[in-house]
Amino acid sequence: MKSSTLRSFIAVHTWVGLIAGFALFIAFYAGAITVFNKQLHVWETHSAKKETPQSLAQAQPLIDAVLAAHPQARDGFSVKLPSEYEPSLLLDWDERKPDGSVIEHNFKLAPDGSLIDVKPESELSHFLVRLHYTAGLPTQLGTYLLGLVCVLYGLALVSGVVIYAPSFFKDLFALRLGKNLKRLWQDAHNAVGILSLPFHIMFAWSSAILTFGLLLMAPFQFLVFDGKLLNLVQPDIFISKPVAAAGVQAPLLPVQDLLDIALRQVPGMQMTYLRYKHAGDAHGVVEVYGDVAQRTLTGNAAVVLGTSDGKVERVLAPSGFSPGTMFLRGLTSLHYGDFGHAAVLWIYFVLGMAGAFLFYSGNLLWIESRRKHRLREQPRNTRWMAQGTLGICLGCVAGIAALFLVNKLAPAGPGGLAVWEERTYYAVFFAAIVWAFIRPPARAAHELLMLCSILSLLLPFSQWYAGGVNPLLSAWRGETVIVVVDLMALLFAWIYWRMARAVLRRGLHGDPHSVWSLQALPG
Amino acid sequence: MRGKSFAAILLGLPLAVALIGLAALLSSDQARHTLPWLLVFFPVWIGVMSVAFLFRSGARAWLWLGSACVLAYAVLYGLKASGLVRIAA
Repeated sequence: MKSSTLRSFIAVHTWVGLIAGFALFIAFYAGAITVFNKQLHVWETHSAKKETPQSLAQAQPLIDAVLAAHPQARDGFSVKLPSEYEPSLLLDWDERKPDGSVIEHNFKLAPDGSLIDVKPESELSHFLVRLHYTAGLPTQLGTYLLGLVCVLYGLALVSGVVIYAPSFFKDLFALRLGKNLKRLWQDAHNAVGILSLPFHIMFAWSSAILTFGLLLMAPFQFLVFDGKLLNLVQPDIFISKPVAAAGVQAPLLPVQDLLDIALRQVPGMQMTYLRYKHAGDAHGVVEVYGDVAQRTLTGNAAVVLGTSDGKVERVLAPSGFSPGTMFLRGLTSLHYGDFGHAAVLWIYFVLGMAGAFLFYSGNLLWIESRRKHRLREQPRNTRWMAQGTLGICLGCVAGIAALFLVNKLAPAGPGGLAVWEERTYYAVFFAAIVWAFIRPPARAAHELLMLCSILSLLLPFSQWYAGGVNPLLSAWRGETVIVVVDLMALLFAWIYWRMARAVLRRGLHGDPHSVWSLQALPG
Repeated sequence: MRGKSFAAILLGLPLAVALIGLAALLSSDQARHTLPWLLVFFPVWIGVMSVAFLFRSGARAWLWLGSACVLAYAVLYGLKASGLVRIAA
């Protein structure tokens, strides 16, 4: 390849990397933790232990109680069946107020049979998911913005491979530890990038589809398919067509009967939730969702039934998927890693953290390659980049560590904890950014890394304080979730502490011609 | 560099839409094959944008990608207008 072409690709890689890097760091760091979303949903509760699931027999009484109290809920609600990670049988209904606002209700039946609207104890796991796909911005804006970030990410992958290709075999396993720090960072950046390339391609691709896939259908709808695209792909994407209510009352078939019919259609399906539309109407349908354990990438299955007669409208199981449905569900399954068990989840966690490292190291490399070896003052833009990288990346890390702490330490009241959690994250995140810009970069890096380390180190102790059970006893009792979170917190505390020390050492003893130096230059 | 970047940003999307659109319309079974084609749109789009940076200059990138775009839409609308290809839905 000609050197001018190569230079173009280096410029593309630099610029898309710098623009997208910050959002990608947050998405990967939060996303890696989100891999264990279900387990964290158990961890975030007061007891942090799994409980015995409620009985399925509660489902019909729950629906009847909600419809009696809120008849307008019949247009659309979901019933979440109890699971290993969420023991309550919940009815989820989004109430639309006349002023356009939406109130989310989560109803459950108390042991005495009365209806209660449960406010979630904690929003930790939900907040991490939202952070993952919005980078902490308002949901709609953040989602579309991360869609655009995926495009830049795709370009960064292509240009990165093009730049790297000429020295592929020479450098593949090279990690040159030595005096040349830039070489070391470059080798680490290349190794992580190239060895996890398939994983990154899959994430750029599936994330683009998850964030703004529907938006990307617009140009096809108007330029190619003359407005008929949705009719063509509707059955491949959606489970059932929207139906209008008939306006004729029809009694509901009991949940247990509906589940039995669905199970006959897809034998072995583990049913997870039901989505009712126009319950109690002659045209009412219910979509029964579940998973089937078979050796396919995606195990999602769904059965659509009439709510009053149990008539089977549609059966959707992996063995009968159309190519489009298989492709779409396959990509989403690859994204979530829900096709596998513990081993796959841990691989995703490690690769996700490695991805976060890739973007962090990319920014540091940019700074390093613009270092002026003779100038007294380093250029201002590299200093800003250093401070921005520290503030945003370490702010996110410290914010998440603080979020975990607050979950255990804040006073738990109905709905109160969720507010504490969210505010704590944003407070720490923004404070870290401010701190990064008012301190010299090396000081800010050392102090922020120490903060991350200390916050992580405190987690096992706050768990001990809140739960009243010491970590060794938890391990003895086999409380896996608590023990694993504690161990990971200690591991991360150690890593951040080592990084903090390394930054300080470089500042005091390294090359003084650097934004990372703390030494006064001679003369 | 600026010319190539603008070619990538402004021509990448329409050209990739036309290519994927043609592939979907010409497939033997539109109802079955349209969604799979739409799903490969993203990598094709990224690919077309990357190609823009392979040209020697911005002007060449605009010339080649621009002509490809005009040609692709001419074929697409020609096929639809002549009735050779019909939208199944």
